[in-house]
Amino acid sequence: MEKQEKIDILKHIIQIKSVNDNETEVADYIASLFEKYPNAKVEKVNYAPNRDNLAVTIGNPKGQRLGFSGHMDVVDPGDLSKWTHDPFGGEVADGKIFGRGASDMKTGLTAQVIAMLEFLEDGVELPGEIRLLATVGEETGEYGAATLTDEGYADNLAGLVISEPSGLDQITYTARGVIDYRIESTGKAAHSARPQNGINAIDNLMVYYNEIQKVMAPFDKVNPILGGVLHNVDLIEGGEQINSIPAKAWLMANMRTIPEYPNQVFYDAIEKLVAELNESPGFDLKLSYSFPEEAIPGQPDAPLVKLAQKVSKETFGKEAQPVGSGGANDGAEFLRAKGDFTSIVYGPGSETSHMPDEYVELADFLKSIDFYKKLALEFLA
Amino acid sequence: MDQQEKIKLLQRIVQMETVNDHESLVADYLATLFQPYPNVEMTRVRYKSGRDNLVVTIGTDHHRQLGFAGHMDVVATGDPQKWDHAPFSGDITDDFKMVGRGASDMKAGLAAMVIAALELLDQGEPQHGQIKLICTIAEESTMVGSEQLTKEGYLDDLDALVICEGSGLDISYTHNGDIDYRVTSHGKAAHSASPEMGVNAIENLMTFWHTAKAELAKFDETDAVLGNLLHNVTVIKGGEQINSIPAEADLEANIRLIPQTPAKVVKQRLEAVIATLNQQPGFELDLEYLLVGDALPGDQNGDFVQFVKRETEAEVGHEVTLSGDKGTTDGSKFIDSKGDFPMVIVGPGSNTAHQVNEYVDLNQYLKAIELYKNISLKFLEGDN
Repeated sequence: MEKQEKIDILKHIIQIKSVNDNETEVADYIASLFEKYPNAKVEKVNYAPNRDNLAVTIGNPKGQRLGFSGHMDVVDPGDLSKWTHDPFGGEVADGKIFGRGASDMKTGLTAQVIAMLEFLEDGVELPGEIRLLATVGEETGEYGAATLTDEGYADNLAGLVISEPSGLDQITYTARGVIDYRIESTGKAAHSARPQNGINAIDNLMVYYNEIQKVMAPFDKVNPILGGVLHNVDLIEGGEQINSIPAKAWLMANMRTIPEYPNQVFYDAIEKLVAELNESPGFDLKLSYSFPEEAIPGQPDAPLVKLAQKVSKETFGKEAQPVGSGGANDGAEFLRAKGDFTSIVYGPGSETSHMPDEYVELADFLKSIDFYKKLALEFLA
Repeated sequence: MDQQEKIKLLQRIVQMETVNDHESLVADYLATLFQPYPNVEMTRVRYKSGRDNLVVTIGTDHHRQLGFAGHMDVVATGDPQKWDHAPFSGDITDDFKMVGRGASDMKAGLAAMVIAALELLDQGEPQHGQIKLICTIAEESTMVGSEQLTKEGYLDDLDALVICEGSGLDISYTHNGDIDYRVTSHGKAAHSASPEMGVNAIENLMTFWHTAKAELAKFDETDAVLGNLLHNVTVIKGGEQINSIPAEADLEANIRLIPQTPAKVVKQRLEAVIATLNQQPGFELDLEYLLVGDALPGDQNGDFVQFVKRETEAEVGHEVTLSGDKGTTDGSKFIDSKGDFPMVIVGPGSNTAHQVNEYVDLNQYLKAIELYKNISLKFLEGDN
C-alpha cells in the first residue's frame, strides 16, 4: 500500500466522531476495507445501537492465532477553544496528524488494520491466523472487550497485542486492575438545631471512610513492578444546606489492584464492612461498582514480550523495555477468555492523549505498521 | 388607628418582597409613617444599596430607654406552587389569619412594634423615657444588620430589649448561638494510578473533621435549658473525577453554641485545629465563617422576664410559657453591645416560620400591639 493511502485511511478514521458512541461508523469503514478480500472473515458484534465491535480474522486456521486489538471510541475533545486544529479534521502538519484519537488510539488501530490489509494485498501465506478485535467503550469501561470475550471471540488466542499508545520504547506486559465503587449513605433530614431528630448521612459516610482504611491496611503485598494496592476516595458529596442535617451523601473510591490479589478479595472486604456498618443503628449504606477490571499479571520474559522487544529494535533501532501500567486496558477483559495467553500493549502515540491538539508522528505510524507485520510473521512462524 | 388600618399596614409590609435583600422597601415605608411626628429621630444605617437598617428613637426624656427589635428580611418562599395563597399576597383567610412569607417570621412582630409606637405618639407618649425601634436587615442570613448596629453603638443606651420574633406570644428568654463555617482543603491533582504525585484533598478534609469533632467535643458543659454544644457537618463536596486524586474539597458545618461556650472561644479552638493541621506536610486548609452569633444567656427569674410575663399573661388571659429556644435571633449580635440589658423574645406568630402557607393569627397580632404599648408605658414609667 502506498504511504499516502495509509495516511488517508488514518485520516478518515480520525474524522469519524466516535466520542464514547458511534463506533459502528468506524467498524463499517474498517469492514469496507476488507471487502475485496473474501478470505477475510468480518464479523460485527453488537453492544448497543450504533455501537458495534468488529472482529476480522485472516490467515491459516490450522496455525496459531494472534490477536490484534484496539478501541474505536475516543474521549470528548473538551474545550474546543484550546485546539489549534479541528479535533475531527485529521489535519496534517509538520509530519504529524492531529485530532482526537490520533494518539489514543486510532493510529495504533489503523496500523494493525493496514498490517493485515498488506498481508492480504501481497498474498502473504500466513502460517497462522491474525484476528483483529476492534472494540467499543474502552474509555468508559471496557465493555466492548467484555462483550467480545463473553461471545468467545478472544478464545484460544496464542497471544494478544493491543495497540494502545505505550510509547514505542515501552512494552506494557503487566497492569493494575481497577475497582471503582460508590457508597451511598442515606440518613434523615432534620433542622441542625435538633440533630437528634435526624440521621446525619455525612457522619455515617465518614465512619465508612475511617473503617475502610483499616480494612484495606492488611492488603500490604507489593508488586515489584506495579507497587502496592491503592485505595483513594476521589469524589464525595453530601448535604443540602448548612442548617439541615444531611439526608444523603455519597463517595466514590478508586482502587488500583495488583496481580497478587484477585479483585474478589476486595469485593468481599468492602461488602463485609458495609454489611457490618448497616447493622449499626441509623446506618443505611449502599454499595455499587462501575466496570471493575482484574489486574494483568504478565511475565517480562514471556516469549511474546521478548519477541516484541527484538522486533522493536529491528524496526525502530532501539529495544523497547517491558513495563507495568497503573491503568487497566482491554486486555483485562480478553484474559477472561478460554486459553492462556500473553497480552501486551505496544503502539504509537504521543503524550497528548485526552488533551487538546492530540497528535501522532506520521513516521511512527508508518513504522509501526512494519512492526506489527514483522511481529505477526515471527510469532506465527 | 383602627383595626382595619393596622391589618392593612401589616399586609403592605408582607407584600414587600424582602427575601434576603431589598429591606429598604420596608425601611422607607416605616420612615414615612413616623414622618409627621416631632420628637422622633430616624436614622437610616446603610449596609449597602437597597439594604438599610432603620433606627427610630421616640421621646426626648432620658430616664430609661426600652428597645423593640425586628428584622425586615424574610427567607425564600420555596416552591410557590405549594402555597395555597401567593406567598407575597398577604391574603386574609376566613378564620382571620394573614398568609404570606414573613407573616409569622416576623413582619407581624415588626408591624406590631411600629404601630404600638405610633399609637403612643398619638397619645402624646412617651412622656418618660425613650422607645427605640431597631429594624434590621439580614437576620435570616448573616446577621450583618444587627452586627452593624451593635458595633455602631445603637444599642449602648438600652435598659431592656424586646425582640418581637413570632413566638406565638409565649416567651423565650435564652437561646442558642450559631457558628456556621466552611473549611476548604487544597490538595494537588494527580492521576489516581500515581497518588504519590498528588495530595488528596478529601483525605485531609476527613482528618480535619475527625480532629475538629474530637476537639469541640471537649466543650462538654451542659446548659440547664439549652443542653449541650452541637457540632454537625451538614454539607460536603470534593473531587473532580473518579480517576483523579482530588485537588479540592470543602465541608460546611454548623455549631450550636450555649451561653457557656462563647463564639470567640469556640472559634479560637477551631482555628487552633486548622493551624496545627496546616503544619503537617501536604495540609492546606482554609477556614471561613459564614455566620457567627453568640448564645443569648437569660434568667427566667430576672425582673424584666417576669415583668414581660405578667404583662403578656394579662393581655392573652392565660399562663404563658418561659423557655429557651434552639434558633438564634439578632440578640446573638446585640449582646456584644456595651450596655448590659435584659432581652426577651415575645411576638405574634405561628409555628409556620420558613414553611409554605406561613401565617399569623390576626387576633394575636392585634393583641401584640396592645402588649407592646403596655410594656412600654409601664417600663418607662416605673423601675421594674
